[in-house]
Amino acid sequence: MTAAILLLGFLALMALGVPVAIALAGAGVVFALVDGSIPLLAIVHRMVGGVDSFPLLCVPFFIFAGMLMNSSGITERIYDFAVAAVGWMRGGLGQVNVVGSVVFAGMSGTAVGDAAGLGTIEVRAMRAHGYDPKFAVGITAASSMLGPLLPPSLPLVVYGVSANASIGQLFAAGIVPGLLVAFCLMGMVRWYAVRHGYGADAQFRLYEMGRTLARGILPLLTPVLIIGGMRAGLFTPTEGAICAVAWALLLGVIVYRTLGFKAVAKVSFETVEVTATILLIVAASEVFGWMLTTTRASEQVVGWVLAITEEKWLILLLANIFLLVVGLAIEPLPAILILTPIMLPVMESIGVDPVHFGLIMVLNLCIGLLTPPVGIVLFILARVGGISFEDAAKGVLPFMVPLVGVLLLCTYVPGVVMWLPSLWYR
Amino acid sequence: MAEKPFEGVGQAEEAGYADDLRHFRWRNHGPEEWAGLLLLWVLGGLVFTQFFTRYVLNDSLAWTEEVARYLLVVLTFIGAAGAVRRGTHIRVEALEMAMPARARPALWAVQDALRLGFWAFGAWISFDLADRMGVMPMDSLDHSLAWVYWPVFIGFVLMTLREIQWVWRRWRHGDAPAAQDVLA
Repeated sequence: MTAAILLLGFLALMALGVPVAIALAGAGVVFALVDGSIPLLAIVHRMVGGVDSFPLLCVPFFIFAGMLMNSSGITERIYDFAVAAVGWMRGGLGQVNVVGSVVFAGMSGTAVGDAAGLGTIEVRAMRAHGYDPKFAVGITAASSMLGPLLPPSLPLVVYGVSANASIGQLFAAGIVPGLLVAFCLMGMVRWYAVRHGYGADAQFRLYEMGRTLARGILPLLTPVLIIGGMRAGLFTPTEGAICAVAWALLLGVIVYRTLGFKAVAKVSFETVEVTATILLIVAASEVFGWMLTTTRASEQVVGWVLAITEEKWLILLLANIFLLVVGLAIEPLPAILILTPIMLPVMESIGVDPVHFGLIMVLNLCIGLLTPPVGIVLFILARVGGISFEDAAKGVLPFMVPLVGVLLLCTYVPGVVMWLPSLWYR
Repeated sequence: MAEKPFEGVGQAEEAGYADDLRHFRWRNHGPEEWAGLLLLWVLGGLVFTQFFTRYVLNDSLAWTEEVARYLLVVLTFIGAAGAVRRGTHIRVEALEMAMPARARPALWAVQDALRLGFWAFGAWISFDLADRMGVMPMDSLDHSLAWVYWPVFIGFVLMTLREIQWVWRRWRHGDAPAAQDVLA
């Protein structure tokens, strides 16, 4: 009963279309009024407590670093390097697309950042080289999935805070699945290129590779800096994020001189806005999660699920389907904050590691960015590619096969996800 | 499915992924956004200093971590007022899109009431909290937690005021939420 009031109140508010933060905290207010034993003061107190957290500090700074990198022309250097490195393969620019995203994912933590930064350059280049725009949009959208998988990853940070899991371990957990996705996508590009007779787009020249590497070496070092520093215990994720900001500013403002005063101010304003909208949801989800626990509602949810089935593989399958469906309608970050307090107890009750589940959740929800009706990555790329949203959705459809394949592999073979975190941290 | 207008792109550009400065104007940013910008930089400076002092001076300042957390709280609630001003709080529009156009104004009125109600509720409660926090000490500094809660109160008040501005405009012009320009 208690769980029902909370959950139905939340769903009703979400359906009405109020901000997610209001739906989460508002459900708490409704519950407190009905229940009568929870003081209203506790709601705002919990909201403040929800953002009063040191690990959360990496949210603004990873956003800031990613946006600074995107605005400073570093993306072009990465693109040039990728062309020199893999442009000679069949379906060259398709391969460039994947390799470029692998590198870019090491500095940006979101799929949207990857699609709108590097993705825009890639789609334009592929169209200019006579690729089918549907294929171009499809591979670019699919490879943007690497942003949230390979560290640093904003969705994994948010999950880590929400689930109280180690962000370092989550980052490590994303590496193997991310590289697997990249590997499968490169395989698909190869297959596509052979079938459609796409040739190479560049010749391999060692000199060219060396030159672009030298031009791009500083930005290419970013992932090494962040991951290496965290791995070596030099800094916490928060300090890693602030170092990434300092590094991006150093490159953009002093070394390359591509970031002016105005550009930095614009990016700062945007960082504040994105940060505040996400953290207000974090604050509200703290209220929601707290009420789920104190009213034992989360235990009731576990009971409901276990009443349906106790088979681990079936619960995992249902969780995947549920997350994919949610991902169709809700963006990853709010969805993570809403669902983690509800789903994690169920997963823990059947012995799924929180780090493992984090990866499953993020991968599922991010796939929703590539699908109608609200897939923002598709919207951006369809416009850049000059095709309809419908065609863009058709273009990305074949690439769902490797993405869902890796998702199932990650779900049912925990070792794929847990190998690196166990090796490094346990 | 039918082709949709590119509503998402505007959002993405708003979110900072379009790196051109053509639409950037200093005066398009309200005081709460300037306060947010300042907070972001002070916060960044503080975290960096802490990291730096730990390695260079081999002695980290104990209060920096606590103050950084408080600044993040303030940034959240002041920045959220900026997001109300720009109308960019994340929400789900599925029902709205599925509704016939004639029925939408009724839904908007409900949304307005709920948003306004929640921000005002937040302002009321945070006033009460800030008032009580005057006796609660911080962990490592000799100040009370009221220093954290008063800015939260200000944030909620700003959200309420910005929301009133929106609602006022909508009642006068009858626009859809997305069809309006950002509040000047």
